[in-house]
Order: sequence, then structure tokens, then C-alpha cells
Amino acid sequence: MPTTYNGIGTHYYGRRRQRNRQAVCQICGRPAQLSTYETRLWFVVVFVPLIPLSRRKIVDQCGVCQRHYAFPLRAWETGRLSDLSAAVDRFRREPCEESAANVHGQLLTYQELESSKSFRQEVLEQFSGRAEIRAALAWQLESSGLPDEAEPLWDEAVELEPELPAVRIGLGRRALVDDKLDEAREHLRFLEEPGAEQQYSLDALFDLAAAYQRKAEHEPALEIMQALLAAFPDMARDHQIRAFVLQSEKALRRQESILSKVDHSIDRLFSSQYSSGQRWGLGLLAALILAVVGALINNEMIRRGRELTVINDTGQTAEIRINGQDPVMVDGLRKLPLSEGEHVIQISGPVESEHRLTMQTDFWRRWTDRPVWILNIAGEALIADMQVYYAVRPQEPSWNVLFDPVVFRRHVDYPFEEPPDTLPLNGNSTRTVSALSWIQPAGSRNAAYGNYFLLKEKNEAQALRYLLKKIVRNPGDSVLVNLLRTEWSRSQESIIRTTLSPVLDARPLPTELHEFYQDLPDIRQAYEPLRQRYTEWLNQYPDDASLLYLTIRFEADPAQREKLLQRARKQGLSASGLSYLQARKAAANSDWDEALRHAEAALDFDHPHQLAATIRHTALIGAHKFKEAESHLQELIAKSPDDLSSAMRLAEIHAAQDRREGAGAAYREVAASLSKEVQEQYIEELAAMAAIVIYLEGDLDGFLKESEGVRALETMRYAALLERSSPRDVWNERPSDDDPEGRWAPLQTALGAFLHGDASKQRFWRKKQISRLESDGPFYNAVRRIIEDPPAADELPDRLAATWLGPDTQAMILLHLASLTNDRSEREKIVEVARQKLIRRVPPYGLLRKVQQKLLTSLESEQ
Amino acid sequence: MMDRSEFDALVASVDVEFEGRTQALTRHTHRWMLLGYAVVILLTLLLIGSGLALFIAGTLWPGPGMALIIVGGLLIVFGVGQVGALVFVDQPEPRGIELAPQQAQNLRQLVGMLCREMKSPLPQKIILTEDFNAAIAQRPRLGIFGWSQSWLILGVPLMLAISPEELASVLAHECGHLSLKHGRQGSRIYQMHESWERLFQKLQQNQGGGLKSVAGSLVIRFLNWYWPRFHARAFVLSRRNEFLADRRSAEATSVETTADALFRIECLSYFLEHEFWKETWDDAEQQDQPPDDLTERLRAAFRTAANSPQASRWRDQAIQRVSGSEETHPAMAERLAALGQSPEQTQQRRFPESPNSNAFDALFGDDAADLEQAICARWKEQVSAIWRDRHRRITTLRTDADIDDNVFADGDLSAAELWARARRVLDASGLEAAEPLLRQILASEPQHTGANMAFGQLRLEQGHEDGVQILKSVVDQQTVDWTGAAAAVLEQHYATTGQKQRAGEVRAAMDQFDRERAAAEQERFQFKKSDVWIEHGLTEFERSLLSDEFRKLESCRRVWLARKKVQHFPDEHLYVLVVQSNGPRRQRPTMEDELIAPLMVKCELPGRLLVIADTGEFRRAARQIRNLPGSLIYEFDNTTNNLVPT
Repeated sequence: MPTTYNGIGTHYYGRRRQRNRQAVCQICGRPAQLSTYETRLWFVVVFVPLIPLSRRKIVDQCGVCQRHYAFPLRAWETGRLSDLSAAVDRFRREPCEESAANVHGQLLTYQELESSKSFRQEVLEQFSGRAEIRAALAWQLESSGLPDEAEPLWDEAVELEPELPAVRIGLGRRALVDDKLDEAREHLRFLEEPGAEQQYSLDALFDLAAAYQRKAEHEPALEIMQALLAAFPDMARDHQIRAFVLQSEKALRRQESILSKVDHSIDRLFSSQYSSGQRWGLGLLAALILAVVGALINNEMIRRGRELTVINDTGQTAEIRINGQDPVMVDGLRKLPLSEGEHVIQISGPVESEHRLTMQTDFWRRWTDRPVWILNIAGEALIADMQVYYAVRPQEPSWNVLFDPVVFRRHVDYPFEEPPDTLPLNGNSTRTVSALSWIQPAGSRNAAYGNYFLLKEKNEAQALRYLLKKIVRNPGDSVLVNLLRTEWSRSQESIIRTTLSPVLDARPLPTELHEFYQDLPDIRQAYEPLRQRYTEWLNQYPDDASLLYLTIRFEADPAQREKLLQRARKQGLSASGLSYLQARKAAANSDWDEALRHAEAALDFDHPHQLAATIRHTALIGAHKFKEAESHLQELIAKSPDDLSSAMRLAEIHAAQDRREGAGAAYREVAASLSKEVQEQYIEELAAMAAIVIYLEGDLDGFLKESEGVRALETMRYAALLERSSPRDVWNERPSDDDPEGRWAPLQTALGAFLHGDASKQRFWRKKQISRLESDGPFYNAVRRIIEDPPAADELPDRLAATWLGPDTQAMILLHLASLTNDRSEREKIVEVARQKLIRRVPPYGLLRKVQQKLLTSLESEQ
Repeated sequence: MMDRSEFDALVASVDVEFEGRTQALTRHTHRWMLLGYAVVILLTLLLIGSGLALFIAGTLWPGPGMALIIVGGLLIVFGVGQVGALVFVDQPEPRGIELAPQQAQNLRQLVGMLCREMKSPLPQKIILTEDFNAAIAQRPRLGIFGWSQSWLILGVPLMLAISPEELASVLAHECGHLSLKHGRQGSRIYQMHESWERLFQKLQQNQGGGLKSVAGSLVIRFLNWYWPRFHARAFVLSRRNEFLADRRSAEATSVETTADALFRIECLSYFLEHEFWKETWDDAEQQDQPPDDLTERLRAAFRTAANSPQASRWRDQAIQRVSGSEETHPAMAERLAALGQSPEQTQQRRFPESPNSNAFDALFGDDAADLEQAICARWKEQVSAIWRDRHRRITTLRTDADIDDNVFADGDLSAAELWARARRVLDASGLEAAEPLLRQILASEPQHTGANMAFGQLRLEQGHEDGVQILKSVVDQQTVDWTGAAAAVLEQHYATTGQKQRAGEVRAAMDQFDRERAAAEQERFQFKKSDVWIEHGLTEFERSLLSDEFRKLESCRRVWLARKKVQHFPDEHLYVLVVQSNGPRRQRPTMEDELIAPLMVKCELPGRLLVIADTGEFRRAARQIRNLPGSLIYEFDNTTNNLVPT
């Protein structure tokens, strides 16, 4: 049958030699006009015939159901010629009934109805009185859908030989068509007799039984079926026959069946004993069982075929040993095949650790989920856990950062794969997919730095944990320690303390980490345990200069500190830290040359660079070696054109020489030369330095404006505010009480109160300062005692120098003490000492200077 | 396609190649059988293979594996289903009267003993039939995979004819088959035959263009090559298996007993076929029901068989018969020779006298009467419809003959009419009844092919050698209707009389005839540009007769006639008539088409006639004929309504 799909396919076009006849359609069984014609089969596109394929003879196309028989035209025509010719030829040679019926049959087959009619008449004349030929021709006519033409022949045959089996079968069939079942049965009864199947076709009996059943006459239907089953016992196995019989038996409520019991066997599976539905059912069951078995195997294969994604972002090759098997070296990302279950994973290399990993997923979800297990060595790799949205107007992907040592995600659509840019969606639907990716900023040092800020964007606590982890693994990394120093907050101190405490044991000694640790407020307050540890370490490593430096640095008792320093000198130990401490001590004593010498020695060790550099800078100003300082700083700037610190110090040197105007030119030149990226990256630091430079140029308002919101300048800004305004107006802007940098804010406020003649407030803030120092722990006991119970002016410089406080702080304390004393000579002495200590020009220089002026003015007025 | 002679030659070569190497032949035949199965299931194996590949890939591929598993599983099941549908053949169970477990204990003991002795499985069921035969049938429950159940089929007539000792030999022979697993082999061959049948049916159901037709033609090509080669081996093996079973039988009983049984059965087969059954069925002329006493009649017949005037003829045929290439059982003489009986010993045998006691009575004891009655009833039931039909035909024939006799004297009937009546007599009553009519026909028309064929066959049945010459003359006439039938009778005659070479010659002649006939058919019904057309050569009178027929057809305007020059059977002329209608140009094709069948039926020519339309499918041939001078034999001028002289 020609078929088209959306107008493309095959189709018949054209009709030739068409002949129509009225007959019963052999396919649908309805009387209709049947057409026989020649046509051509075409390949069509949009029903337009394009390629001729073959010529066909369409036979008996039913006007009702349109169904028909189709033959290749050539084969049909050749067949017609040969079959008709052979039949006629045989009839000429053997003019018997059989050959005559053959010719008649061929004529009907090839739709030669007129010829068959005339030939029939001739034959009937020729074989007059013969019932068999009439029955044969009648049957051929019935089979060709021409029952009306068959009828007279049946009548004649009955008249001639009513007992002729062919006649009885024919009449039986006719009665069947006319729905006269009992009459049909009478005609066909001889077929029910035993042994009839040996001689005749019993098809008519099947039709009769079916007709009885359709009319709900089950008794005769069963009788006929019984006869048929006797003739064909094997038929009792046929599922259709069984269904037929059972239907009638059920209708008659028969207790016993005429059907024999059937055995089920596999060799009969493909016999008629089973219906195609049963076979399909069994097949589908088998397919289902197969699919279930396959699914179970597949599930097991999934279970066994898991992967452990190992990410090593430590920069050092890690050796992974799973369940005691041979080790696997991992550098970067590597997927290790692993089955679900309990696993012991030992990591060595960058870290030495052991994990007990349980890989387990839900049985059913194995087919739907793509779980991911990640072993993040030392938790150093950052893994972006993303949700990517697909829609016509999708929202931005949301993401989270993971850096736990072991990560499990139940389902990830794109584990360490790039999600596609687009996905096909229906209409306005949306789709969300999950993805994991390893965040890899370039360069290991910058990587940690960048990763920290990336994490900080999402979660500060997470970022700190990450940073601490990095420091724990790299305790000597000064970049990381400095980052921690600038980024930590008081609320995080506990976790920092807990995390870093074990790292202090590391060797070589992580000096900067120790320094940071020593400076933690809680540590300084709970001073003894760490001091004890240093004592123990020092006993263990008596020749370790760095350890000695750190021990001295953490020594709150000035006498003990001095003793240790002498011990270092005696032992001839030299270390950057020791030089720095000596410089610090000298600066505290205003021994600028000594301070300069030791600071330069410390700078030669390159540690601690900024602190030593600051002491050196202070010493140069203190010693009025401006030219030397200036040329040195210019030299540094020339060497490093981006050296902003030096440029800023140069501005201070200019300010110290009262060359305030244009003091910051060099700084601005250096700042302008920085790349945009660097400017963006260090925006806060640059803002702070720019504000200080403005201050040094004498623009207090400018400083206050520029320093607003700059966290690093909070203390300086407060001092500058006090320089201009009453403490009542600005005290709210003082640094937090927790801020170590804001330690001297109460004293500054007291000085502000002094400036504004508010004695009660001055006392109030003094008390505040004392309690603050008290809370800061033993390190500030000495200075607290000085403020609380000031010694005589003659003792005061030495007492203060012993605290190793910087000259500016000493100046501040001295000015405060001077403002409190009523003894003019004492006050004068103290102010003089303070004047010598007031070296730096950065805030609170202005405030202190004003206090100093006021005190001097009061001294003058008292004179 | 291999013809008969080639097949015979192949069988002979297989026979020689595996002479004395039956085991090797068995293995060889099994390999051929496997090849057959392999090809049958090749396509479905591809299906299963691809399904399996997908399934395995699915199980090993976590992720999209489930889809592959499902598709693979369905393909496997579908493939297995297809293989199963081809391979699992529901072999019908043998039909007959099944012995109840308590019946025929003596027989059961004998069978049990023989089976134990031969280490063969015991047949699950024993079936009694009305055949003069004994057999083992096996039906594998698992198709080609085996697990057979077996039936011992025993014909009551056979048991009535032979002695208990001879029955023991027959049973030993059948147990030998069981023990040597011959039944399983046969069953497998049967199954493969069925598998191929099914494959053919499937190919026919799926007939269409493209791959399916290519596959169909490939399968047919393979089958044409494979089938005769496999069967050549299977037939040889089957005959060898009979020898082996005979040998087992002789070992279990004795060579003499086995030889006696074989000889008696063979002789009585001829006796039953040509005498007993003939006489029994002759009763249908008088009685409308088959007799109730078949076994009684058989007992009586067996008692007197040796006294039959034809007994020596049946003995001769039994001894002389040679086995054909396509027979599963060797000829009796060959079997006796294989048992060590010399030709002289065989020749000295006389038609066997009835045994003192028959096996049936001896082994069935008290059950004999009931079973005998049951078998009679069963036979009666089996043949009653045929019997009644035969009775009706004979009665009708007699009535018609009476009418004809009253209307016509014998001399008034033409040879054709006599032949028509003879055919009906042959059909209803057999050759002997038709003899007078056949003689009458041949007296008036000695060359009447059909009558010669029937008469020749009758003469041979009656034991007259002149039948051979008569049948040879029919074969020589090379007619479509009778040559094949005459050759088959001749071949059978030569086989039963031990003339193997002549039988071979007849088969070779038939091969030649078939080839010629196929070529002739092709030559006659294919029109080619190279066809040579010659003048029709009809007389004026014949033409005028034709013209009368043409004139009856109003739309017939012109008719051309020519003869096709043919290479094969040139005496069988082929006339091709081209018809042109007088209708409007657009309607001419239809009108001409409608003229073809009437002309084909009406026009009588001294040869075969094809009618083609001037504008029809074969218009090139029509043009060639039109262009042949003198081919226009009819032209009607419808403007003047006159015939135009041609």
C-alpha cells in the first residue's frame, strides 16, 4: 500500500482500463462497487508526483473500504496470458469438468466476468446433468463475490444430485450467509460424521459453529466443536479454539469441558496453544526480567564504578594510599576509581593525614543521581559549588565555595565540567543544573591571597578558616601572616588562637606568626602560659636567636627583658629581631644614633622591615638628619618606583623641616605611576596613605575628609578630630575598645578634654585609659602604673623608656602627666622631655603639639 | 536447482564416501544440519547479537545504561522469540489407540526387556494403529535442544501377520533406533524442514521490495543449493540407520528371525496393497459403509496369502525392489544382504506361509479382543467418509452409465466422451473398472495419451510387461499432462523390479523434460525484441471460422495473427493474436483489454493461443506482428459496416 507522511511518500496517480462491477467485497464483506484498473505508483512530495516508480494493477478496489489487491502490472498481464492460455489449452485437449472449471476459475480470477459468463453457459450446456461442475462453478462465483450468479447453479446442482458433498457444502454456506443456521447444519451434517476430515474440508463447520455462538446458540455450537475436536484432536490445544469452546461452555454453565487438558511446554510456546498476546506477555516478562537483571548489574556497576575526585592545590605532590593499596601520586585534580563502601585514605606529602571515607548512596538514586566525593588535600583547594539557571531570562548563577578536606555532593550535573552555554527548554520553563569547578587563580602565593578575598566576599568566617588552614600548612609564609594580621577581628580571636597555637612549635621558627600570636589581645592578657612555653623552648634551644627575640618580645617585665637582651649580647646572638629590639629600646631612650644603628642592622636582616624602617625613619627625624633621610628615601624610590611607604616618609621628612607645601608631591608621583589594577587592589591602603600625606601637608580638614571610612586610620583620625574639636563632639567616633590600635584613644580624649579645659572629662578619660591598660594585660602594667601613680619628673623618662613604648606614645603620656601636675618645675621638665619625644609628624602630632603649646603657654603665664 | 540425476549422483557419491563409516556420516550430516539452522537463525542471531551488545554495554555503562539495557533486552527477547518461532516446531503426536498401563503386559515386558538389553530408553507410550507398520516416534519437548518423549507405534495388521518372534525382532529394531538415537535425528530433520517452511512463509508474508525481496531471493538461492545436499546425506544416513537397527535386532533375536520378519513384512506389503485393500475397497461398490470386521478379514487374508495366485509376483517384487535415492528405508534385499544373507539365500525364499500363531494374539492375551474391536472401529471411522464418497461416486457413475447406455450405443460416443467417462470410472473405481472403456478409446484413437497412460499402468499392475512400452510411448510424447505421471509409474515399476539403471534413465529423461518444459514456458510467455514471427499458416477455412468469432465482437476492428518461432517443443505451435478495437482513441485500451479473454476462449487454433492488445502491455510484440506481411487476418470498416478483404 502506498503511504505518505506529511505529503511525502508514495501515491497512485492515474487510471487506465478501468472496469467496475457490483459485488461483495472479499475484504470487508459488504456489497460495493469493485474497481479494477491500471495505475502508476509515484514518489510524491507534497502529493506532487515526482518520480515514477512502477505500474500496478489494482484489483477489486472496494468503493466502501477502499482496500484492494495490487500487483505489478507486467506480472499481472503475463500471468493473465499464461494462466488463461494454459487453462484454455488444457480444456481444448481434455474437455472435462475439471479443466472447464479451471478455465472458469481463471476468467474470474482475472476479472473477465463477461467471458466467464458466456463460457459458463457453454460449459453448463456441455455438461448438462452434471451436478459437480455446477457446484464447482457456483463455488467459484461465491468466492468472487457474486452470490447472485451462483444461486441458480446451486439450485440446479441440488436438483441433479442433492447428496453431492460439494453441493451440500455450498448450500450449507449459502444458508450460513443467509443466517439460516439450522438449515446450514442440515446441509453440513455429513461433515460432523466421524472420519469426514479424511475426505472433506471442515472449514464450513468452523464457520457454522462460530455463527451459532454469535447467535448465543451454544448447544449446537458445542456439538459441532465436539465433532471438530474428534476429527482434529490436536486442535484442542489451539488457544482460539479453547477460548471459543470455553465461552460456550461458560454460557451453558457446563461443569465438564469437552476440551482435554493441555500440558504446558516450551516447544509449544510458539504453537497455536498460546495466543500472540500470551507470547508477547511472556516475551515482555522475559524482557522485564532481563531488564531487572540488567538494572541490578548496572546498579552494581555504578556502585563499583564510583570516583573519588582528589584535588591537590597545595603545590606539592601528594601521595594517596587508599585501603593500603599502592599509592597514587596526585598533583592537581585526579579522579580515582573507587567502589562504594568504607575506605581508609592516607595522605602524605603536603600534609600527613588519614581520612575514613564512607561512600554510600541510596540504591534507587544510583540511577538518577551523579554523586561526587571530593578529597581536598589539606582543604586548600577552593571548589565552586554552582547552581546555573537556564531560562529565557536566566538569573545569574549562584555559587558557594567549598574547601573542606572531604566533600560529598549527592548529585552534581556537571562535576568539574563546564555547564553548557544553552539548553533546550520548552516555552518559559526554567531549568537549574548544578556544577562543581575547581577555582584555580594563577600563582600559589597570590592564589591564597585571591582565594581569601573570594571567600571573604561570601563568608568572612569561611575566609578566615581558609587563611588559617593555609597558615597552618605554611606557618612561615609572611604574606599569609600579614594578611591575617590585617584581616582578623577580635571576634575571631578564639579560633585563631586555637588554630595557630599548635603551629608555634613548627621549626624553623615562624617568627612573624609568633609575633602575630603574641600580639593577640587574649594572649597578651593570659600571658603566662605562652611565656611558659617560651621559657621551655628557650631551655630546649638556648642558642636560637629568633626564639630569644620572641621571648624578649613577649616579656612584660622590663627588667627581665633587659636581662634577656643582655644574655643575647653575651651569647653574641644576632638576629633581625634582636637588632630591632635594640633599636626599639634605643628609640624609647631617644638615643637616636644607637636606634639608627640597630635599625639599619635589623633592616640588613630584612626583618621586620616596616617596623625597623619606621624606627630608622623616626631616629633620622629625631636626630634631625633630614638630608640623609631625604636622599636615602629618594634613593629607595628610584630603586622601587612603586615604593609608596618611602614616598610617604619623604613627605614626613619635608613636613618635619616645615616644608609642608608640596610635601606629598613625590608620593603623588609614585601613586600615579601605579597601574590601575594595583590601585584598585590596594584602594584602602592608598586612601590611607594619601590622607596621611594630606595631613603632613598641614591640611587637617582634607585629612579628615579623606580618612573617613578608612579603617586603618581610625585612631589617627580620632586624634585629628580631637585636634580640631571638643571631645564631647567626637568621642563617639573613637576606635572600638577592642581595637588594639585604639589603645591610647582614652588618653587622647583626655588630652582633648585638657585642651578644652574640661578637667572632669580629663579625669574621666584618664581613668578610662587606666582601666583599658589594665584590661590589656601585664604588658601594660608598667605604663599603667606610671599613669596611675606618676613618678617624679626626673624618674619619668627612664621609667617610660623601660616600657619600650615609641617616642610618640611616650610624648603623649608625658604631656598628659604634665597637664595633671600642679608643680610648675615638674611640669616644665616633663614638657621638655615630651618635646624631645614628639618626633613624628603624623597624627596625633597635631593634638600633642597643641597640648604642648597650651602647657608651654601656661608655663609662660605662670612665670 | 539440482535435478534428479544430479541428486542421484550426489547420493551415490555420499554412499561411497561414507561406506562403512556411519558414525562419520552422522557427524557430517549433523554439521549440515547445523549449517541449515545457522542460516535459518542468522538474521535473528544478528538481532540477538546486537541486543546482547547493547545489554552488556548498558550494564557496564553507568548513566545512560538503563536505556540501553531496556532496548537491548527487548531486542534479545524479540530475537529469541523469532528464533523460537522458527526453531520450536510443535511436532504432532502420533495418533492411535494408546495402551493403558495395565494392558498388554506381555508386550510391555518384551519391550522392557529389549530396551534394557539395548540400553535404550523405554518408550513413554505405546500406540496401536491400523497401519501395516511399526515405528518409533520421538518428539523433543525443547525443540532442537532435545529432551525427547517417545512413542512405540505398532500397527495391529502387522502384528496379526507376523509371529511373536518376528515381532520381537521388529521391536528390537525399533529399540535399536531408540538406543542409537535415530528418532531424535529424524525429529531434528523434521524440525528443520518445518523451520525452513516457516521461514518461507514469513518471507512470503513480508513480500515487498527492497531488502526483504533481496533477503528472500538469497534464502531461496541458499535453499536451492543446500536442501538437496543436506537431504542427500540425510537419506543415506537414514538408510544406514536402518541397517544399524537391523543389526541390533539380529543381535537381540537372531539373523534368521530378523530376516524372516523383514521378508514377511515386505511380501505382505505388496499383498495387502495390491490384493487385500483392493478387494476390501471394492466392497464400496455395493455397501455404503466400511466393514466392521477388518481384523477378521486380515486374519483370513494372512492365512491364505501364500496361496494367492499373485504370491510369487509379490515375492519377486519384494526381492527385486531396489531403494531409490529419496527413500528413507533401504530395499528389503539390501537389508537382508546387510544381515549376511546371501543373494542365493534370499532368492531361495518363498512367499512366507502364515505363522502358527500371530504376535497380536500371543502378546495381547485377554486384551486382544477389545483392542481388535477398537482398532476395527477406529479404521472404520477413519475411512467411512472416503468409503461413502466412493460408494456415492460408483452409484452415480452406474446411474449415469445406465442413462448413457440408454441414450447412446457405444459406437456413438467419441473418444473424448469415452475418455471423460473413463476418467470418472478411474476416479471412482480404479484402473481395472475402467479397462473396457480404455480399450474402447484406444481402439478408436490408439495415440490417446491419457488412455495410454492409464492402460499402460493397468497392464503393469496386472503384471504385463507390455505396459512398459505403452508408458514409454506416453513419455516420448512429451506432453504437459501425462509425461510426468507416466515416467513416475515407469520409475516405480523399474524400482520394484530391480531395474535401477532404467529407473535412473527415466529420472534423467524427466530431468530433461522438466528443463525443456521450463524453457518452453519461458520462451512462450516472454516477449523480446529478438522474437522471430512467422506466418500463421492457417487455411482459408480456419481463418473464416476465426472471422466469424471476431465479427461477433462489435468493438473488434482489426486482428493480426502470427506464430512465434520457438526452440523448445516446436511442434506445439504458439499463436499470438493482436487485436485492435474500433473505439475512440482514449477508450481503445479498455476496449481492447476487454477483447482479450473472449478471443482467447473462443478462438480455436491448432496450438496454444495468446491474445494481446494493440495498445496493451505487450505493444512492442504487437507492432512486430502487425509489421509481419500477411498477418492481418481481419479488418472491419465500421463506416461502411463491411469487412475489408485482407
